[in-house]
Amino acid sequence: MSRFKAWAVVAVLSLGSLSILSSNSASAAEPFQAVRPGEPRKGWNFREAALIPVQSGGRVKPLDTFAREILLFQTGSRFFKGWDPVDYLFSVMTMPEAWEGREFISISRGDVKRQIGLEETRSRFTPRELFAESHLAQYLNEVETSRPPQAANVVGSKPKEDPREKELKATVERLVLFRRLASGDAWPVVPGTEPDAMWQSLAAPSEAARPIRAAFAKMAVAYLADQPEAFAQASKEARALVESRVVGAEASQSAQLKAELFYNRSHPFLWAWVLYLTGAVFWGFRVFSKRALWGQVALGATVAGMLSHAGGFLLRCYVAGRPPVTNMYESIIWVSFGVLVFAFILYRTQRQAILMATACALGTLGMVAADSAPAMMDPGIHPLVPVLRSNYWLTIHVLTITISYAAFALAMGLGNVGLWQFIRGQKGYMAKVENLNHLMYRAQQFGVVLLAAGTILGGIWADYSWGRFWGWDPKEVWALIALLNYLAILHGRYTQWVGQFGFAMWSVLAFMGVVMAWYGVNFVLGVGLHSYGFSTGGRGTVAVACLVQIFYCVFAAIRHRQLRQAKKSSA
Amino acid sequence: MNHLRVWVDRTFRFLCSLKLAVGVMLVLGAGMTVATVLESLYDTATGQFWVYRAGWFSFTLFLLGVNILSVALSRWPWKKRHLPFLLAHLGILMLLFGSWVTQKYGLDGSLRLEEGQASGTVEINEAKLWILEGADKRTYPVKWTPPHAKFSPIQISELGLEIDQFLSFADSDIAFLPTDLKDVEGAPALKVELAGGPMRIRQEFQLWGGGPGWNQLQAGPAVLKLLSPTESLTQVAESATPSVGSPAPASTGNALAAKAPRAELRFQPSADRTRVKWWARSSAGEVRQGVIEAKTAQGTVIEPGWKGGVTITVLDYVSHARTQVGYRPARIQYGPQAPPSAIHLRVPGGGEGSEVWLGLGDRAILEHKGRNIGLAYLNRQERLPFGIRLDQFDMNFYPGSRDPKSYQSKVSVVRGQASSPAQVISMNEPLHEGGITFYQASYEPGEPRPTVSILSVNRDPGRELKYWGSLLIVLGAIWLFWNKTQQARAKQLRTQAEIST
Repeated sequence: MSRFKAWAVVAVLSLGSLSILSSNSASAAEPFQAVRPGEPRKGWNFREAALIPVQSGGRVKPLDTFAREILLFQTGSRFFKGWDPVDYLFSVMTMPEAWEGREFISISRGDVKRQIGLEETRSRFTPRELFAESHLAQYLNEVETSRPPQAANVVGSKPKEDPREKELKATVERLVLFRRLASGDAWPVVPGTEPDAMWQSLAAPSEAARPIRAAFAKMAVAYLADQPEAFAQASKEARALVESRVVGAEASQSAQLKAELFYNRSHPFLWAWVLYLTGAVFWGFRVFSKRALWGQVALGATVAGMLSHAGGFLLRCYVAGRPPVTNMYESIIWVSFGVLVFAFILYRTQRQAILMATACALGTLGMVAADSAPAMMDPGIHPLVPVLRSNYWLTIHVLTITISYAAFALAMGLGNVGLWQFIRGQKGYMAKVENLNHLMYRAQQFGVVLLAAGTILGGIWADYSWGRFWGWDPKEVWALIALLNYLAILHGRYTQWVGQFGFAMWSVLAFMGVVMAWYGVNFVLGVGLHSYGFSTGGRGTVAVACLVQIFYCVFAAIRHRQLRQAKKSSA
Repeated sequence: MNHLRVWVDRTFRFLCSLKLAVGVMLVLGAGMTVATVLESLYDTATGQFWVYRAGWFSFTLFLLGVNILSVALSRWPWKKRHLPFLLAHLGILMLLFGSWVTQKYGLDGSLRLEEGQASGTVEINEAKLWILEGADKRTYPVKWTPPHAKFSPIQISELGLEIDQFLSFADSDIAFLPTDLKDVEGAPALKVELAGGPMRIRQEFQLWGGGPGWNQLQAGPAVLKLLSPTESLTQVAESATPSVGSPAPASTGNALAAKAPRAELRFQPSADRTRVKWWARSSAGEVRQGVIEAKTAQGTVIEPGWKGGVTITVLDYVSHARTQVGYRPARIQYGPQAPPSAIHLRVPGGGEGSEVWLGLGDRAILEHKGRNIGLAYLNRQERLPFGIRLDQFDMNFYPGSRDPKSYQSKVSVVRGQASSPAQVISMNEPLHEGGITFYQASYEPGEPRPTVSILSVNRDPGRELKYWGSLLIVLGAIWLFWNKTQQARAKQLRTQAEIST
């Protein structure tokens, strides 16, 4: 029966294992002796190999990016035991037997582990034990046969994917990929002869693949024999060979590939949050001390962080050829930047260290969150679905909407600081709160105008490309709910229904509407026309964060009551 | 008189109050929250039924409009400083009014086009029952109702008809009923249940001798056949080819099923149909046979000797059967795979044959009081003054992947005999023609490439209102906040000046 189809595929592919080495004439005579099998080649320079063009996921990318994606997909971590991704890829290709018994295949969901019959306490498993697990193939078959046919709507909603099934499929794919890496089948490095054609793999039985296979075999031999110079030389030759074969628009992407490698290796967003954290600490010092030096250090760190942040953002724009705001990872990066920008705008007129401290803390939080969950928030650069392929609309609609989230995030952060003043209840706290509330008010004004404008721009884009201005789509609706929340607060402040405490508290609580519009629609509801951003994961974390916020507000409210009563009785 | 004045005054004050505004916003916010959750749990149509298209929601939106209008009027006589406030609120009114105009007078449908074919008939997603009798034509709208909502029967009093049942998602179902028409169409029908096997399945199958496609079906790896009296019961074909056009879904079969020899079970009613001979062969080649008597057919168990101890139980045998199309609640409820709705019509108090099921797209003739009434349950259609011809549908992929990069339809506008030069409709690039806009919405998958494109067709008389309203909202809001900031700054300066003096 077809339940063993997957294993048949695996078995056939494993027959082709090491075919790269055996099919090569130049070095076939040499005996292959793996030196230090399965150990990282520390101190090697993989730059030339990393720049070899690869076609995968609908675009041409450097081998480095390809390797990073595979490392993350298979191990669930971007920094798996300190392996350089390219190093890892060559290690798996040349010494699969050393990896057979190594725990590196990640399974992230407990229910999937339970289902396959593995210990739930472990996070990674060896290919050997997984191949021995017949349940896995059986469940894969079940998943495949029970899948309903795909809807062909261009703009319509997609059927929801069960996260358990998704992880199960991914697990099998990780295993199959392991075999295909070793056989050369998973290496799409043989350019097509026609522009935009599909590239062949190293294992392809074609004339075009032969010389490239030979070049890769040379690299593999040098890698196995632990000879860094020979490897670097072979990589250079292989890269030149592959680059010379690329035709069409893909041929002129050499500068992009270099930029992408630089982007991969320089970690601009990591530096950004480190600097923001430094900034937040020194701005904090400045709040409690009169020394101007702290402020100068803090300002320097913040500006440096923003430069690194903006640099990374622009680099990503250049590599992707579009504004990077099409998934959760990219939008968090953008919103974190927006928080800092708004803080600076306000700081220009209101020189308050607490404002910058809050903004830096929020920036750090956002960047750390984006960086910490690569499995949930895919940091990869992927091509766009057809409806988003309009840089003009994408830029103005999505950037406007998400930048308003930044203004609301700043108001939320300041609101939390304001509530802290109530909780502490020190002398003269009211003046501080009024001050903060003024900043929050300004931030919310920015937010309301931008969210209203962004939502309307979205309507105009939808009218232009889908034929309706407003269609009660969940994403639209939640943007509207968030907007109504803030409008209610601003009106309440105008008529003084909402006092100083209320304003701070509602700034915090109203942000949950934004969280729902931003995260909830894509990750919890998962329906509607904005389906390109849909994903799963992180629900627990977000729910806990919201609950903590609510408890914090309740606690502050209790303190506020106490303070008011104390004031009344003393008067 | 004074009393009335006080009352009017109070009402107006309530209508322009912030209390009402906040109340309305809360109701809208809560309603929309519920709607998005319904949409996530069920589907878009369900959310629209309970919230967006519901009366109370429209009323709340209307109240919001009244509230905004009243608050703008309450500032009368207007002064220059009111301008930003008025602009923002007028913008909201225009937006609301524009949306209403779109809803009421706009066109929002879809156009299905096959390559080489021209069409100007737009289908609008509003189901209607059409009743045709002679030259008389009437339509009755049938509002889509979700499965968990109560469907209120629709009376068609002119004809004494009633739509008494509604299935939100309906699968068609064929029943074989005994008939007296022994010569014309009454063919033998057999209903069996297959149980056991390596997959431990239990499934019902129906065979009918009256039409092609019904006399043979695939049950997992096995084939069931109903033979005519003239066919040979025991002859084995040299190469068994997989059956084409069998009504049973072939998904339970797989690659192995195509291999010969297959497990097979044949039934052959005798000429007078009082007995049915059966003949079974297992995949190992073992043959068994037997006879079923029509009178005692029900409950007869056949053991064909197949793998896994499969048994076949005869559930029903009808010697002369006619077909009747019916509908039942669909296996797939909600979502893009769910089938469309169906209605059940009946003549209250009428006897046999005075009721009929109609699925969306079905037509039927109902005999009623000696008259023939034509019935059709169709989506609303609108004819455009011109046609659109699909010259070619193209789908491009990102290099080396199956991720679609673009969809585009090359179309020509056809007016009588004349047709315009080809134009391209793609995502973000609609076609404007005669006040109507055509958008690329979807396509039907096909082999080797899709050749059916579905365009979304739109006419929006409220568009200008919505756009100008939007502009006013944004400008008004910016101006309003700018003024507030200036006021705050002036106040700050004043306080500072007071403190320093």
